[in-house]
Amino acid sequence: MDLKPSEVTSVLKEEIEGFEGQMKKSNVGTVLSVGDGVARIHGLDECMMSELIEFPNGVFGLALNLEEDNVGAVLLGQETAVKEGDRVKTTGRVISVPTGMGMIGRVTDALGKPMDGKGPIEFSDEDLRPIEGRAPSVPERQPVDEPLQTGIKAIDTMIPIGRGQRELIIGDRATGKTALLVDTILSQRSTGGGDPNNPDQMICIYVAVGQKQSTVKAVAQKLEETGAMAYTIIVSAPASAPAAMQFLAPYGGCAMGERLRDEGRHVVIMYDDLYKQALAYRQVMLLLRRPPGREAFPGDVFNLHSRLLERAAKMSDANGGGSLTALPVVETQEGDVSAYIPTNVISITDGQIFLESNLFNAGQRPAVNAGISVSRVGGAAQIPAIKKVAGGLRIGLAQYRELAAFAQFGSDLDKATQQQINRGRRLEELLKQPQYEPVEVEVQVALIYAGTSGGLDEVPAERVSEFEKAYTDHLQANHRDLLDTIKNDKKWSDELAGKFDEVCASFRKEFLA
Amino acid sequence: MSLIANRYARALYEAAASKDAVEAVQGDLSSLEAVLAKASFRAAILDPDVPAGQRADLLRKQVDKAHVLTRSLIDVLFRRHRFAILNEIPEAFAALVRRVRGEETGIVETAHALGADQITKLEERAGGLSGKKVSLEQVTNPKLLGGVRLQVGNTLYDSSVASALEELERQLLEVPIH
Repeated sequence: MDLKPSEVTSVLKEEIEGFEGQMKKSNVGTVLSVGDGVARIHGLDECMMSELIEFPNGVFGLALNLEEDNVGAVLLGQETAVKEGDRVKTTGRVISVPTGMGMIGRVTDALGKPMDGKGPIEFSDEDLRPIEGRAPSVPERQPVDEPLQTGIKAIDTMIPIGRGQRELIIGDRATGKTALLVDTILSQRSTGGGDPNNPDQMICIYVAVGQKQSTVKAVAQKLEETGAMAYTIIVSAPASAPAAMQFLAPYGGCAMGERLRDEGRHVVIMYDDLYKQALAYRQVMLLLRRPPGREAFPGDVFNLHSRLLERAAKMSDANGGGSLTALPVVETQEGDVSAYIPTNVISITDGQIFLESNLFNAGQRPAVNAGISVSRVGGAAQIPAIKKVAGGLRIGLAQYRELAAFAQFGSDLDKATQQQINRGRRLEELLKQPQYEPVEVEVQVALIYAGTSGGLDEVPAERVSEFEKAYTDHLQANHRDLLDTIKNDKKWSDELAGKFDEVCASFRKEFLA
Repeated sequence: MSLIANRYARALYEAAASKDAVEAVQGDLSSLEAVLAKASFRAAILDPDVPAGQRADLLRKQVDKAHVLTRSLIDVLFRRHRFAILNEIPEAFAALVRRVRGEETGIVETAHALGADQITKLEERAGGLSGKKVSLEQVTNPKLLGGVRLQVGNTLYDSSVASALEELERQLLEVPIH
């Protein structure tokens, strides 16, 4: 501990010199009751909505209900430190979090306090940003047209996500939602080499709401091991945190992302998950005696999510051209997507990725149901090469599934149908992907082209993944120039297709020999 | 003070103001307050075992020489089963009268007792700060160490040594440790 004595003395000196005539004015009230994380306060007649209020013993609260004769507040600290009759003060501040580059690589709580044992985060008063912010207006935005590569073949080809988009990830428990997010974070290394100071590097913010601490730890550790933590912020309000912290965490994380977005950076923020946030919000609001509505959620639960997700945007060039992409997660119960919160968030976002437990258990991982997953931004957020190559993929797969259902009756099939089924099976195999192995976009193009052009038809279906791995290594080692052409030009041409056909054919011969 | 007591007090005040009887009613209420201060009397008034009519009669006897509005208040409270708030009404009424007259009560906390002239000076200062006519109640609190802590209504003006020390403690704890 290296406390500079001069600093302490100077603080003292200022205090002593400034003592005369020093007077602090504040609006005060008395605690009427406290319990279950909420307090009712008499007085505080100048208190503002969402104002931070100070209880004794360094506990803070957030004023959420201003009533005729009392103020209802949620406590953001230990409620055992507050008792009936305590004097409460207003602070004139709204709740804020520290933002900026100093946060990157850290694990913080909902209000930006470090939780990773790496010491305090240094920030100045200018770095503080209110957690509730205004969403960018229409002239401040521009249409989403830049891709966010998740590195997951099934998503980048069929359900492309653009920078500034809001894409919901929805599914039952244990269908790989968090795994998909972690893969997306790992894949962002390719944008700027993993150096947070590189302006091209995508910054990732992972907001864990109501998660098990062990899950958060596992994610942080994986990111640390792979070097992805260097460009990631984790905001954690685990299941053990007070309900108020759990519903505030997404806003805190969003404020950190907005700061970087406004500085022209590209940011992706993941809310894992918003269903648990809604539960925490419901708890607090019921304790504050706001009237319950459907499923006992308060009336403004839709706004709770819409005002958060509206802050995701692609900014116009005049406003720096940065972007904030939101990937909210909603957990469904027994696959029921028509429940209250899932339908709300589906209607707010620009598309959704459905993860299904049937597919997951059948070994199709990531368990993306391509039929009902959509991205309303679509091809605008794909590089031309992948757009061209993957064009027929979704239809091919849909036709295959239909034919495969018929083929189960065992009747004789004509040659064309047989071939379609064969190819579909191989495409399905091709879309399987192990965890923590994101695929670069140029490799995705080469692999999907091989699948859709029939290059895999002779490879036995059960050997497709083996072929895929070997073919990728082969391309990386011997045909880096072809991959670089796709990476740099982003275009697909017949000439390029011809070259890939050749490479694939000769490699296949070797592979099958 | 409960919301309901405030509502009754406001209604009573408005009725009294229109009949120019605010002072008379306030006088009645403060004598009622003195009677209600007796625990045995209050217990009798709030005892559910005593029939409500008897309790109302008991109260009416206390206010038989009072202003007609005070007597009506007792009747209204009886009819609406609101005897429980009776003891809150005098205070609520007094607060309302003070507010309308631009008066405010306050508490001045100091480490050592103040003289009468100091209190008067402070009342003037507090009046200047709040824009109201302030009457101060004096409290001695040695924990303040020095300085003055002045509360007028819900506004706290704090220039005590104790709070300055608390602030200093907080600043010291915030010094980054390298």
